[in-house]
Amino acid sequence: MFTEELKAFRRLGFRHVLLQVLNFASVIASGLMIWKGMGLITNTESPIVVVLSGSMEPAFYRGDLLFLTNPPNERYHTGDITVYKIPGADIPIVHRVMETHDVSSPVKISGLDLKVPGEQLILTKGDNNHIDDIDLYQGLDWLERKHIVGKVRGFLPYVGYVTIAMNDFPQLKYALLGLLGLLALIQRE
Amino acid sequence: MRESTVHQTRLMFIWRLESRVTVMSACRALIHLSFLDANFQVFLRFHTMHSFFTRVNNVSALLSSCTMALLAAITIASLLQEAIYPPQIHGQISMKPVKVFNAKAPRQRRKQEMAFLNFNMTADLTPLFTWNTKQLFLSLEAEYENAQGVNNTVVLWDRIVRRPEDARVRVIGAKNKYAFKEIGGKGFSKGAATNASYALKYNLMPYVGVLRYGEAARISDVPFDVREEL
Repeated sequence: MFTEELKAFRRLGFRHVLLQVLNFASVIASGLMIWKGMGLITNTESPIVVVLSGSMEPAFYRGDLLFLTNPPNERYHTGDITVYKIPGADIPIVHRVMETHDVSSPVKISGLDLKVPGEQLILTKGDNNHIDDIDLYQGLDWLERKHIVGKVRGFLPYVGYVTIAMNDFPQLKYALLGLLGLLALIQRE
Repeated sequence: MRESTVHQTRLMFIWRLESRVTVMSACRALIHLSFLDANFQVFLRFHTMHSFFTRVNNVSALLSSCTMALLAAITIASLLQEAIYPPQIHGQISMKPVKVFNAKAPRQRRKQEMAFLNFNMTADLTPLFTWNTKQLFLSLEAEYENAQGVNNTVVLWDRIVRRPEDARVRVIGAKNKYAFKEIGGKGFSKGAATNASYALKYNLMPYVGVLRYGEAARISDVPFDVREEL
């Protein structure tokens, strides 16, 4: 089945294979650089996320692609849609801000450390949920800036289904990657 | 023979479009890479032969370029439209003094001071519904500063509007949907503000593009009316 391809592979020679591998690596590296560069500019760890659940319907559906930014000196407002990640939880959540409490002088709030000016306590809720997110906070009473990954600025419907499919069926991802990698190595210039 | 020439010209056409939209192809590369199908780029570099994969790649590249260009055009067009014809929104809120008394909040064991609203609100938000409006998220929020210097904004009522027919908001004698209590559960009588402002805000969500925020109505200095019992 693969005899032709194997022959082609032999004809190419060692240096050519090395070159292809190098090119392949450079493509991967440039992709990573763009991703991390975008992360630096937008100040979030992941500037593009895919919606996995229906808790923000009808605003966002499963498979929508969201673009996030997180300017360091901008406070969050009620009505903003934020993506947050609670320590210990493995997936980030995208929900709307319902309460903000901005601290302007040092204040002690029961159940929390001393809060200093500039800090903000946040409560979120999914548009499609009846109650706020306190039960999702894993023991925390409020969200704080450090928990928030970014603020949703724009969105693109459906596109994220590609990644959802790849996540749900990892075999698909490996098959696709393997096939493409093999073809890239075998193909002649 | 004839068919192959047709194919050739089609590919030429694709190539020309490709070279014209270099900025878009940069965007496309970005999107591709973000999906970790970076390998398409390998094809782009190594397939000068017009193999099956080159064609698949060219067609998909053309498709994604065109889609990206279209989406960008839609985004810019709707932003321009809003800049040239800013939507005229009128709204009004009226409210009785906000009653404060001890009550049990949902999922709380102990009683604490909670505030209860009784408000009327009218607003015409139909100008916000354009060809690129998916939904509006309306929220009535309270804004006040308490004695500890904490600036609070709390959403007390919200509504999602999905059709222009529903965009004329008329709410009479409504109560707050969500619990209104002081941070830390200390209560309004112990050093909270004596009054608060209330504003009707909207969040416009387009089919494609950038989320927008705005204010439709506002009422200032509504006093808290702290009572011992109901």
